[in-house]
Amino acid sequence: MNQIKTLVLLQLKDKIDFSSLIDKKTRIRTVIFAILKFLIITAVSFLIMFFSCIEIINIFTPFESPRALILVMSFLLILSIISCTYDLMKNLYFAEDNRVLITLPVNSNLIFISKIIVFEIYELKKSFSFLIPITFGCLLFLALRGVASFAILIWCWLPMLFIITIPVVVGAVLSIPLMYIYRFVKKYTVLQLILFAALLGGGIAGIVYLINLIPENINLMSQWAPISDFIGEFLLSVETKMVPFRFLIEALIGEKSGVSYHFTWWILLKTLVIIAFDVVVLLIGYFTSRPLFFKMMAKNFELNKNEKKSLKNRRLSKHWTFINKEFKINIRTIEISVNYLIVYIVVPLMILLLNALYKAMDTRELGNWLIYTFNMLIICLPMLASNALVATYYSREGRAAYLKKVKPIYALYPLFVKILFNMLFSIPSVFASCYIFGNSAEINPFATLLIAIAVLLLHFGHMIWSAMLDIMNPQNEQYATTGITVDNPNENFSTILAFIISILFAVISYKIFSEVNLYHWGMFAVGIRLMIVSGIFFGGILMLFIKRIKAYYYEIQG
Amino acid sequence: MKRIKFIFEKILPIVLALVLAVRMLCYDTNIVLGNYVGEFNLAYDETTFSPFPKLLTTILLFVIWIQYLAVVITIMNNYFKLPTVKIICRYIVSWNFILNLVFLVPILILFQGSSQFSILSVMLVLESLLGITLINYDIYTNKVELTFKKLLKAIGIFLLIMIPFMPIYFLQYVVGPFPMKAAIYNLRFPHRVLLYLAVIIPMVIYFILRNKPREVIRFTLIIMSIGVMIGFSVGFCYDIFYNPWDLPLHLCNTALYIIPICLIFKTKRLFYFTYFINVLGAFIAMAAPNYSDGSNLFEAEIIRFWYNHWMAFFMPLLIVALKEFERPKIKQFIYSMVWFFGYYVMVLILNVVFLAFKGIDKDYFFINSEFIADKLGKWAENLFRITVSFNVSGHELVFHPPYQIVYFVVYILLGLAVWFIYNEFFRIADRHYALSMKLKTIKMNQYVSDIEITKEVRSDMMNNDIVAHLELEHFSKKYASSKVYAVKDASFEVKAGEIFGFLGPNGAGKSTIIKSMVGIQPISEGHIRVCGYDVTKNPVMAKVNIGYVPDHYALYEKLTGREYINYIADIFDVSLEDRNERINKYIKLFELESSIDSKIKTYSHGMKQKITIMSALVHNPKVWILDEPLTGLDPNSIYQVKECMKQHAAEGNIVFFSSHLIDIVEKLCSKIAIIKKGHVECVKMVSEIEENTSLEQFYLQAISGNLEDSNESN
Repeated sequence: MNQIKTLVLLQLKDKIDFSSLIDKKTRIRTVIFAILKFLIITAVSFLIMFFSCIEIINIFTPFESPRALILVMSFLLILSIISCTYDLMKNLYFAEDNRVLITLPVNSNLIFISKIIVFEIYELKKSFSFLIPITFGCLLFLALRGVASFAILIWCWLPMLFIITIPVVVGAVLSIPLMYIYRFVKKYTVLQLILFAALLGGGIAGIVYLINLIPENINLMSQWAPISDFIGEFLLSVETKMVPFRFLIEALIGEKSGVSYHFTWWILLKTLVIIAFDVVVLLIGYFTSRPLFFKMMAKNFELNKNEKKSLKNRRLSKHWTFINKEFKINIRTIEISVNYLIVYIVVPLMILLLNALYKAMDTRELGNWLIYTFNMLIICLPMLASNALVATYYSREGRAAYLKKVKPIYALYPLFVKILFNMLFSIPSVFASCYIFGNSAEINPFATLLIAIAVLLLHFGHMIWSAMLDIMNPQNEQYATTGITVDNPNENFSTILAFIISILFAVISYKIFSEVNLYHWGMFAVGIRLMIVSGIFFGGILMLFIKRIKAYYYEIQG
Repeated sequence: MKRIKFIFEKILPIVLALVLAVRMLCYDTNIVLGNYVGEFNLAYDETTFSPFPKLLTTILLFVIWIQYLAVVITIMNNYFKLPTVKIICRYIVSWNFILNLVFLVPILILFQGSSQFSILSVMLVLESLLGITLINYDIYTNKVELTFKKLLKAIGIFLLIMIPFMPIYFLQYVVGPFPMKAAIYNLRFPHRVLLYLAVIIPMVIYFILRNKPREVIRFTLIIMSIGVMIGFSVGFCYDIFYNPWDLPLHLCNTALYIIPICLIFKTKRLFYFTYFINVLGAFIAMAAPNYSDGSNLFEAEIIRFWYNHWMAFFMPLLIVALKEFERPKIKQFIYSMVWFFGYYVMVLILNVVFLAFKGIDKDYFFINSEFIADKLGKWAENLFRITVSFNVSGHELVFHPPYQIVYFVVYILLGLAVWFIYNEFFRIADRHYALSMKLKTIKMNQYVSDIEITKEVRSDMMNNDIVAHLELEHFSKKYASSKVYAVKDASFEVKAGEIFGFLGPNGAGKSTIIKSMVGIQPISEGHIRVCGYDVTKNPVMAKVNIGYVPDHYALYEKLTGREYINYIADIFDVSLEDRNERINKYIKLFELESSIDSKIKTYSHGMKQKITIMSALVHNPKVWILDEPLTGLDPNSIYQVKECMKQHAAEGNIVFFSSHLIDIVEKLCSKIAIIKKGHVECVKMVSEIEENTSLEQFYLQAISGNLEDSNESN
């Protein structure tokens, strides 16, 4: 036990920076922000439930709302299982600190357990930002509407703790066979390409299929009753078919009796079942990994030694050499490249689907402006959110990042080149998305081009801002020691900024779109205005980036 | 003499101020509401607007406008010793005093409808005479050198500072209606432009003034605030004392009077009332203006509205941003709430009394009407409808207690909330200011360094021949948040051809010095020069001459060894022939033939170290700096590296390396330094040491503090 405790604390101390919490003011501020965040998400969740039940919308009645909770829980848990499996694979088998941990005088199984515990702690922390407040908001709604007892608001914390553990333990078990599949696929490049093409093709086919399902004429107002009935039936089928998730919800809110849920002793039994499930799956994972963990982990430190043909030296100019280096590293770091490719392909497809849906609707002028605004939001949100990875670009170099300061060249250029490829790859995606939107909305092509440039400038501005976050607050040491970061503050801040900027831009777009008829040049003027707004943002950020590098880069302690 | 000085510098300016104040109040009609106002949307017509031709009317209005500025700047000239202000007074505004006398009769006609002798005429004459007198006194007592450039600058500044003094009717009379129909409400585009200006104007003023001397900042803020106050007040005359309901008691109106008073008399407690209360009120008013929809942009009332609210919005923030008043703390917030309470109660009572006794619905601060409640919704309207009334001398005084209490409390909470927003913006402004100062310093250092390049280097540059040289001069290093020096006052020199060994226990400061030499860390104090180039002031030139091998290899592991070395060679501009020769030589030397084209990720520790060494030598640096380079190398490689070091030094270069392996240092180095706890204990030639003892014994003595001679020697 002591060894596990030591291993867990060792990993936690390495990954989390507690120094900022020594300061009382920072501690108070951190706590207040955390509480505020929790309250805001709970409130949003509550309001969504509330508005879904009001007479005008009437997606479901308050007594049917637990079905919605089952659906939400299913979706969140499945998503969590996928993300936990992926993250656990990275953490368990690819983390650089394995080299250190494996040399310690402990059994590799204890390392496995300690890593699971550390991961569970992070998951708990993450859940307080997302899963828990969403669930709590729904439970609050149920309690206030008399669907369940108020006692669930106090009781729910215990089963939630173990519900959150489910994706972690399931992920730990799933990571083992997935590692084998991964290693098998990695051996054969052809197989990787086939798999990627299959996934891509499948995704596109799925989108096209969904587009074809969209009826020709959608009139939400007149067709609302059958749509509402359909949603009701769907939720009923969710309740009857998603038995495991219903079980989890019942462990939170009680046994169904009539139309409401009662807080009975069965709740305790169900919670014990969940705990037992967690323990059993964890034990399965433990015993399965026992003979396998060390081998699987250690294999990742083994590298093929192949005879290579001797190549020639090549000379490039000072400026091209940086571009050449970044290009090679990008191509060879498949994880990052694939990540971007997915976002840059998915966004145009999403816009295609959305606009097919909108086109089928009969809308008034206000509806049109809202459609345009949503298009802007849906284009900007994922594009900007993908820049969170840029907020780790420089730190990923580990200690090699410091050596830029040793070279006889001003750092601004190589720092900028690092994000150049990102910028270039995102251009087709933005233009494709805006083209689809413009075509669907029958906007003048030149105006569409201006709107695309506006979105691009916004995207670039946020990208540079994310890069600046990473440069000014580097996390090199964590990458150098573990190869990954957990809870990277720059990544988190970049993501928050992405949301705020996207929403602000959507609001501004709405205002500008809605004034299109008031002024000359119509949509062309809209494009110009949007470009001015984005241009000011981009120009300001770029200037700040250049100035900050000049002023502070060489002072950031390495 | 002292008495004359006292009269001219203290008494006459005050008299002039009083004359202006009386003059502004003493005409019984005024241009806004007087004879010349027809329907604003009629075309400009000489017969209905002015008895004078358009050009003359324009000139007269201009003279009236500048006269306000002339008086104020003449008064302020006595209190601020600014050469530009003196030039403006002497060469620009003095002419306006004369024009004011020349055009006295037509000006009187414009103001009061006739050229009849009146208090106004006396005040106008007195004003000009006093102004001319004060300016002449200033000319006599203060010498100011005038050049064409200074005059141009004065004219430019004059044109800027006259803007706040513009009377609100000026555009309406001179230009007429704004040509296009502009919707200056409901956040339409023209309305938004005016809102943008509310932010852009103070930002521009801030950037212009932030580096100026305190006196200039103070002068500018005072003259701006007085100017707008005067421009706003031209609409009033003496009858406001008979009709107190015409007093400018709306929240934002009070700001126009409070701000100049606070600036002139430095009354902090009153100032923070405007900071917390007026700014918020002005912002809300600008976002939801209460003029009619059909208003025209040049109309006097619109100009009055925007001048008033711009000023009330940004002046308090600008004053704090420019540090004329300090950033407020909780105490100032409490004082401002006390003032706010006083104001609130006063307007509450006045509203009710004016309505009950005079039937005038003044509604100061909109607390006695549904103007705000309408915008908030049914709940606010319902709250407003709860009334309490008192009968006083047959007049009913109606209050709306719940609404008015909630209004007051919400306003205070909003004031508290915006305080945090202001602080955030000030924090951003401070950071930007620190950034621009830093950049200025860097630019200065660059300029200085271009001059300071040492004589030897300059002559060597002329001879195209840089000599290897490394010098530390009183170098000290403190890490960012620490009070303790990691290295204190280190000085030594390494000449061409030397292999310099750097010894010391763990944590002594060896890596700190090395990292500062190569540019990874900034220097706290002192200088480091590489081949004559200061690493702080001329970093690029210094680094061209450095090859660095870090204590912990740091490579791009996705590149092959060859790709990485070629990348480094490209940065150092190594020709293809040279790099081919050197890379091939080192590949053979370090036995990397089979691995050089594999990814660095597949290399062992020793191989990675070799690649690092190769990349540090590919450009044949004048100064080769190595931080514990032999760690992890096999014996053959250690031997090869040592041979490289000897050869490199033999070619007239410097090899500077730190190591714990005393045997190797003893055999390899010509000179050593020993560092302990951040202090360089000694710098000695190895041969000197070995005359008396072994290097190991010497090192141990140095570390234990038993050295007889601990002076630096070269």
